[in-house]
Amino acid sequence: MANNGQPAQSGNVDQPRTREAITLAVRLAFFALTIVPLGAFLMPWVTLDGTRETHTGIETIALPASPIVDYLFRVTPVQAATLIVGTALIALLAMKIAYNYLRRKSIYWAPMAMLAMAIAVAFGTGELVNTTHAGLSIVIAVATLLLLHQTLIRIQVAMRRKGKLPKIHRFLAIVAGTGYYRWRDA
Amino acid sequence: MIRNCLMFVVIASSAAIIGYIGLTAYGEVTQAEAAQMSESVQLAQTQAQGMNQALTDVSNLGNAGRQQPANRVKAQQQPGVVQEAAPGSFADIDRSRAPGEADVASVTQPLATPPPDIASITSIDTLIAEWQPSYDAAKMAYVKFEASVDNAKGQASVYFAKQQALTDQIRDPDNQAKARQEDEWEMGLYRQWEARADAALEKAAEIGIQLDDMDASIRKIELREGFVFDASGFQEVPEAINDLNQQLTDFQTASENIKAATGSAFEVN
Repeated sequence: MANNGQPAQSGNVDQPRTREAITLAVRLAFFALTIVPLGAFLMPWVTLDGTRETHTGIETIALPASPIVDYLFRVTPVQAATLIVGTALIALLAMKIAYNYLRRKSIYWAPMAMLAMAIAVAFGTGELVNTTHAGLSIVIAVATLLLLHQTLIRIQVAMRRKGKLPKIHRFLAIVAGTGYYRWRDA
Repeated sequence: MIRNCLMFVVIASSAAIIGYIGLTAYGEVTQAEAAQMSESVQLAQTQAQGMNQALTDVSNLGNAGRQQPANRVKAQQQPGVVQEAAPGSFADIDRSRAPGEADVASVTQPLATPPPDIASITSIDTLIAEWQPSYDAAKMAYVKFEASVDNAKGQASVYFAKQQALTDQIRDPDNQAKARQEDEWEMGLYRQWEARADAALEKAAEIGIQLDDMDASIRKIELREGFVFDASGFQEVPEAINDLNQQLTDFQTASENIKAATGSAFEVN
């Protein structure tokens, strides 16, 4: 999953079909996980100070078209920019991550960036955001899981390249969903 | 097959998100001027309430800060504490509001006596720890309120300009006069709201100056906390000199005795 854009192949090609099935299932599960943040944008995201309204992630991105945008940028421009641009970047990163997982390409920095953005929106906008809601929490949780997955992939690839502890890196290949399965190109 | 399905999921999700963002932004842009103005006025009123609460909180702490020097006088029996002006107290500027009118900023009278836990604070560090967050919150609340009022004024000007343009399009003189009368009635309501908002801002600014003064007073107390004026220190120096002078006399006597006992080749007998 990490070699110059080529699908990583790990483990014995003739490994039992059970392992192949688990590998595929894990890979599909992580792919499904990448779709979750996109759905989270339809959920309550933040409550802005003063509006007493809950904004979804999409409404947060559309805030520049709102009549209160001047107010937001006048009170705390950095926090307003963090809220709006950060949320938009999270959406772009979510799409990129989903697309790269689909292509079995490792993109280690994207979950990290998405997590950083989500944390910045949640904790770096104190004067503008009264409450954060489930949508943002879900994004933080998913970004953390994807970051752990990317770390696991890096560890597995490093162990495989150095030829150390073959049993463990084959196990990691299954757990991380980076191993071989014959339906890979289906 | 699987890959195609997954690709479809990614494309569909991304397209749905982008499309929904576009629709939401379009809805905001094409929102009626009346709705935009209503939203802005609502924002200003919410911020006014927040400012009222923040100023009340910090005023209570300011009262405690004013009592702080007195507490220290009792504790240390030292004169010379700073007596600064009390933080301001608001009259309710909204008391003349007619029933049914919009609830704009009303800044209420702070509590006459601060909460007992704050009033009993005798440590300046503890008082500052209580004061600083409330003071910062009050300052930010004022900025928010001012910004929200300006935002509402901007939206109102757009709304009334659009309203006037539409009224001008009415060709029938009677209908136009009636429409203009309605416009003026709405404008009158808005002017009342604006006047109250401006009055609240002015009052809040006055309070803000007094809170700034109180902050300076508390900082002065904090500065003085580490300053010990030990007047006895000046008496120790002369005593030391006297001691040394006494010792010098002894040294001089001893020196004379030694000189008398040993003599000198240069002395004339």
